Amino acid sequence: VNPPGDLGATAAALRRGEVSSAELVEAALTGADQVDGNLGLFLARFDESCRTVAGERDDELAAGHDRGPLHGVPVVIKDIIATSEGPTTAQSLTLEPGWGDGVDAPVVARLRAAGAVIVGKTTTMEFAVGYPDRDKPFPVPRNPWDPDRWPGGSSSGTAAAVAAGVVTAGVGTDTGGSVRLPASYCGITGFKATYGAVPKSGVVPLGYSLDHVGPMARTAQDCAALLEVMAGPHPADPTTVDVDPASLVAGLHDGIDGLRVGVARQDTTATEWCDPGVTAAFDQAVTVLEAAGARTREVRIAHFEQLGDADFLLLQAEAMAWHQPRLARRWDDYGRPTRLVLALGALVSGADVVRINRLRQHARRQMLQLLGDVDVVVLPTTGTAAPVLFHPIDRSRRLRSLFTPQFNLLGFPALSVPMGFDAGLPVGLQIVGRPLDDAGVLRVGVSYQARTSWHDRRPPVHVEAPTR
Amino acid sequence: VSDTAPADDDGVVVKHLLAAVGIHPSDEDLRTLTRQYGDIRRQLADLWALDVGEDEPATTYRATGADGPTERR
Repeated sequence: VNPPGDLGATAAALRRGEVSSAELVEAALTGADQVDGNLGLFLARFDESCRTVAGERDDELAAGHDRGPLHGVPVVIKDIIATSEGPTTAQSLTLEPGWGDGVDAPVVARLRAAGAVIVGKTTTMEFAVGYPDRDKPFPVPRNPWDPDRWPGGSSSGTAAAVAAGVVTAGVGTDTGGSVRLPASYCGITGFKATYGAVPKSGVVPLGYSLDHVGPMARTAQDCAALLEVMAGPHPADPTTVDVDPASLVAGLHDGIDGLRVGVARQDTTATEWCDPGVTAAFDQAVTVLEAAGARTREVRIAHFEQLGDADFLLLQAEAMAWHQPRLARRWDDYGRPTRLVLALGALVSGADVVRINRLRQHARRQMLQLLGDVDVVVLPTTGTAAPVLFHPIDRSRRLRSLFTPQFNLLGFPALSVPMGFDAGLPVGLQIVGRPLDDAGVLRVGVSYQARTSWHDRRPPVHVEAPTR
Repeated sequence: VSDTAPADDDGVVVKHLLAAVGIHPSDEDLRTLTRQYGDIRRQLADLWALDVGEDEPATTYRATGADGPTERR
């Protein structure tokens, strides 16, 4: 039996006895052996413990104890998130060796309690910022669609592992697009829920007020299954919102007939930052939504470019607050791309930060007004497909082609789903909604994926599903 | 993008601001940061030029993420 590559089908196959958790874990480990040398997915693997846990989950199912959709399912965790199995490195030489040792971040604890089996820790960019660095002793993550290309970041290894079929799901983090960008580049689905919906304690911080922990999987429905487990208030993170996780994933299959969809072409596809192939895929995606019953209209997002700048400037200032002692002591141990980005935070003044936060509040009011006129806004996730690794590229041009950081600054939920290909490389459709209307955003993704098959495409570098 | 942002062609300002937080980069890193300083000051000049309305300070800070979205608290 060959379970399909998505989480829902895998869970169903487990319950029918067509595959066991032990077999799924073994397949994940074998698959990792096959492709990790080529794709640079893992910083740590927990082969022994995940085999043991998978056996326990199988015993539980056999005894009638079912923990839910994630029961016995192998998942991977980005290595800036603490797991009890081993050290967290943040892919850096400078993080204290004992950081997070022996404890689970709340999101990991919740996934584990729901039956997920933690296979290992995945690659990122150093401290979830910067750019892949060949000069440091860590794997360089690569894209399964073309290993000469970047899988996107900073949740690189998680995205590539899901795309390559090593696992069906994983966890990333997103401060300027780090879940949605690699999801788009790798042809998978990634969700940044409303700020505060998912606890981020136990995660190495980057931008305190911008960081989000998010699910990554093949489909929006699978992301919803992960989110329902990961979300909800937690005493360790005072920024979490008192929301019932079930409300964030309600009505996924209710359809989008009559839904009012704002199409943000003027801020994205109509600019020089968007490639024609992305524009063509986006136009087709809008047509699919219309065929599903959505009522579309063109919209503008106020100060779109400036909100992107503001996110990265604030990110740098907030990151400096955390990194300053390490940067002062261990400047040369940071990768050069990382230290140069982080140091910019010292060049942003206190008054600048206040100004950014005033802009943030102003833009938030304007976006809420827009989301009174429409139910969701759609736009491409990025203006380009995955770039070639280590190819010189103008930094400001690269940042302008990301249509993601605006929604970190605003804190609104944003989903990226595969919407086609540009020259053989996947590109993503982004769906943005009102704060805490995560369910509405996910519902659009579920409806879109019910009418498309982009999420079922497999990259050239991939592993086969387990067989019995 | 605004062209009214201050220049720091010799890197003195950047060097001073970094030293204030205990960071002493190499000359090569300092040159790169000085170029980027020009970019971010131009971006910030554009942000300062925007009309952001007249918020109450408390409202401004509530939205910084310190307590997350409050709509359904």
